[in-house]
Amino acid sequence: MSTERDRILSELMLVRYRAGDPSALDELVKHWEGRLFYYIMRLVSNEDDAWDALQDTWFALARTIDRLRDPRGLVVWLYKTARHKALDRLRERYKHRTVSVEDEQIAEVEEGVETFTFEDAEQVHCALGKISVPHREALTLFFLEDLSVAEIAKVLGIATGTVKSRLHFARKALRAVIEAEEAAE
Amino acid sequence: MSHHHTFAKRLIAAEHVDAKRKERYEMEMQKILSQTLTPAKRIAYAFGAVFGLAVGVNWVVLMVTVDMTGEYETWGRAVFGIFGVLGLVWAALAGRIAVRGRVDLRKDRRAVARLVWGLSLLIFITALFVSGLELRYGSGRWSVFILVVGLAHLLIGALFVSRSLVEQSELSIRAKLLEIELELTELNEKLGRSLG
Repeated sequence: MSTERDRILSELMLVRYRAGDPSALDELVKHWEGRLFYYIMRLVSNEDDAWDALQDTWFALARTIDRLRDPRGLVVWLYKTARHKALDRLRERYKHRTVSVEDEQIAEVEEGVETFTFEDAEQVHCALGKISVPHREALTLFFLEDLSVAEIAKVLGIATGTVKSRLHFARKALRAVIEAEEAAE
Repeated sequence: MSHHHTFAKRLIAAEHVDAKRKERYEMEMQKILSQTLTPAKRIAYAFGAVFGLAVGVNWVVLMVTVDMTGEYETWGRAVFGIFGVLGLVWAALAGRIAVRGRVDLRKDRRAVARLVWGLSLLIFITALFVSGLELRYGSGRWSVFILVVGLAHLLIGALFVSRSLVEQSELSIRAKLLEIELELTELNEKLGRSLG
């Protein structure tokens, strides 16, 4: 399914819900829950917390759906809210430790986003768990392909250049993990 | 379908979830999606229903028992009766929501808009009537004030109803446009696939 189609469909569901069709919210949830759950899981690494954070995200949407200023920005809003809810869960779990996903040295890169060449989804899925959280998060959003680099920057609250740089180093890290695993086999 | 989207789907499929946890999440989601009212809101609707019932019954009792004679008796009793009916309709609406435990987005909103408009219109007609009586039998000092109050109610009611109507028509136009946009995008994708 194309990103543009997803976007229009999501906005349509939102408009239908506002016009009084309650089943549209149900459709919206069904459409996005798999991708959002996958993203949240990469942040919290605990299934209970992930389900709770996802539920909190939908609850936030149900509360604000009538006041959402820009229906076109729904996808970014969903990922951003899911991120906040996941981080809230993490903070709750590790009350006495500092939780940060921005604790990494980021170097600016000039080139654009490289063409993605990983093929084995199962292998990538396992390797994602072995790289740092900021790399994992950026790469997951990129792999899910619902957002542009500029939108990923909005979700993460960082500059577009930083997203490109993070994606560049994240890919390197992921490739290193996969190569190390293949060498060990 | 792009390579990435196929990859994204495979990636999501690689995530193994615990069936019991997912079931618990789905049960919780049902509560959110069915717009279930919180206990506090449910009590508020129940209170609104009791209040509407009390007001409605009060007006109906007044219609029957009030000591009213003269040329305006029929009009007076009719106004009391209509106020009574509106109170009872509100009681039925709020009571139904309280018993059901959720708000029906389409039907209940429409019913509330109609009720508000009916009440505003009735207040305006009553204000016109009382203002005329004041002008005819009283000093006439209050007639303009009563008329302004009636007009203010009519204006508030009209604003409420027109806002609701404009919002609904805007949403249905937007939905139609999005449906067209969606069809065009799908067509474009199909064309792209057949050409590629």
